[in-house]
Amino acid sequence: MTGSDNPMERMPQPRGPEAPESRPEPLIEPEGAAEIGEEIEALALEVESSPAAIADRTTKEIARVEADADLSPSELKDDPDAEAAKSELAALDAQATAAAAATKRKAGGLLPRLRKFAGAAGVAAAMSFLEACATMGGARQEAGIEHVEKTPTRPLSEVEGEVEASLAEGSSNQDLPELKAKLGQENLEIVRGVYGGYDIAKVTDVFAQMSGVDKGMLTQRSPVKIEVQSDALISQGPQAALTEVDSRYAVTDHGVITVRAEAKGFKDASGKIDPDFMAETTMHEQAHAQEGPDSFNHDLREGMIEFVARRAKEKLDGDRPGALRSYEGGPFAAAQTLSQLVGEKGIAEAHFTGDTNVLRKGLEAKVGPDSAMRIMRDYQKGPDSHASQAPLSVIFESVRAAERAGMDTASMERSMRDEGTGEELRVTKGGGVFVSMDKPDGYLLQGVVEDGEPVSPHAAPVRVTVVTSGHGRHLGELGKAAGGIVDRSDEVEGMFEKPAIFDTLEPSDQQSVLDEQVKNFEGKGRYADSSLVVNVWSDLAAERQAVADAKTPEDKAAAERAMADRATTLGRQAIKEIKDGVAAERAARAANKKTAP
Amino acid sequence: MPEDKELKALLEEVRSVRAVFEAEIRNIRKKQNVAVERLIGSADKKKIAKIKRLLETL
Repeated sequence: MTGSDNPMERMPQPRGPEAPESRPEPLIEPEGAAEIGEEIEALALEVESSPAAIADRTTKEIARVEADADLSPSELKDDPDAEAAKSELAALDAQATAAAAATKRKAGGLLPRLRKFAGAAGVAAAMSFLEACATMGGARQEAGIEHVEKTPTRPLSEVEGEVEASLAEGSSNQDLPELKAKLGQENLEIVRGVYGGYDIAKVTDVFAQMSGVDKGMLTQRSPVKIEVQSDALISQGPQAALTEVDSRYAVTDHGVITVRAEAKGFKDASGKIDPDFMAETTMHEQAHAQEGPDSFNHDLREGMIEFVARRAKEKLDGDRPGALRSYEGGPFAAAQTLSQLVGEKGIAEAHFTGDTNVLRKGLEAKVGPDSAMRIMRDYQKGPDSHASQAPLSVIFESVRAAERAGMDTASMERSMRDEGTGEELRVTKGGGVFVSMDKPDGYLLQGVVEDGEPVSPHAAPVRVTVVTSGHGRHLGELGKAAGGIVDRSDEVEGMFEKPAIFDTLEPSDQQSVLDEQVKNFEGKGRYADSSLVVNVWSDLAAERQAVADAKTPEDKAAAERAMADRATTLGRQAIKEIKDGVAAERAARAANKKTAP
Repeated sequence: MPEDKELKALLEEVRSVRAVFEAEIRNIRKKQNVAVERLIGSADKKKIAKIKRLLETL
């Protein structure tokens, strides 16, 4: 992120008292015309200069390394490592050029809607760039074909046969003894069975049917290798991070799928590997290998893929897969909720094409452009694209958009329950949306509460997103998020390393923990890219104005103190709402347990 | 004004297109750094091997 995390620094400067008088006539120069012109010009500059700068660096670095190495070209020539690095650099040059071309196509797509504003001075200057972009045309799927180079195809039977053979007795796979020792013979046979029956072409067929994307193109992006590995082997290689967190099962890199056979989550209560979940995980990874350009927020993208993989598994087997074991607590729920608005095809097509317009258009048709924009604001990749609150924000905006469009939100809740994942979506009257789930090691609840409507569709709403539950990982995240601000994060996180500890605490201790979060929050307006986000921008309008209007340094200091106090009050109110939401959730859960047969 | 509203919506879209492109370029630059490091590492290995060979002949 390039901007400051300090909310006050990120706020636009308040307008001076003369601002309204200096506003141009709207019919001649609509508000925002100058801004959009500047934005397009900046985009044009970046699109034109970035690929050239990247290619220039590649050329210079190769020349520099060869000059510095004091080696003759023939000495360097046959080195496979050097050749691989050079080839990677050439591929990156091509990627930058392709990204620029894809961006130009997207920008060109805006031209028809911008033409009507071409008379405005700010827009006029930028029109030539957009017109040049619009002449590029090209099919939307071209951007996806760029990935062919990244994942060259191999005969699929070879890819499938190889993984199965690598798990057979007598295989030359040097990792096999370790796998056998850690998994046991029975589990090893189960894993072998999974890949003996795994059919990349069939899965591709289903993906193509679901998304409407050309099957040939998806086939070209098929996985080139599937490797089932022990933790010992993975931890020595480039995917070592896979073994660092329990909930990581597999990863895809350049078309190579690495499956972490020892991941605890693959096993059921009896210690047996669940072949269905392993196959579903592999489908998830195949969907990564065959994905379109990376255009979505990270967590939401994963949620979309999990949604696509689960639906594909259902279509292949005829049964809906069981409990959700990955991307719970928001990412999957966001895709599932959004699918209520854009359909299964909308989600699958957006994923495999990487085209955000697929979702935007689907949403516009269902809930209108303003609501669509609010949802897409969180869905698209951007400076906050790893912000962990994004999935909840999307759920929140989708539910509220559905309400505004007169749709039945109760059906969204029912649909989530019927999904069979164990996740529940709760929509409260007070503006809260909660995603909850019972888990073997605790209880997970994530919530988003919005305090009022945003001042405009373009302004960030006053919103609180908070994770609070008996599930350690998520409260740990909260502690970690506060770490840069108040040095209590280790204490909070350490406390929740033990699973389910929150549920075992006395109510007064649970209260203390929540109070701790309030204390950490004090005086802060916004924690960006964290689990706890409070944006009090629009509610602080009067205080901001007072700071701007202050005549003396003393007045200004007093006004700033008043603004900080008000921000704290708003935050406390928000936290209280969250706590009330948690209490209501727990009461509902207790009542459900009592009435359960 | 409806025009203002529409233009603001377009502004958001242009910003989004730009943000996506910038993120892609940042990602490419990161990968480029890694590939350059690999290239340097490979040349270093070759240099060390050459020096070893020279030492052996002395």
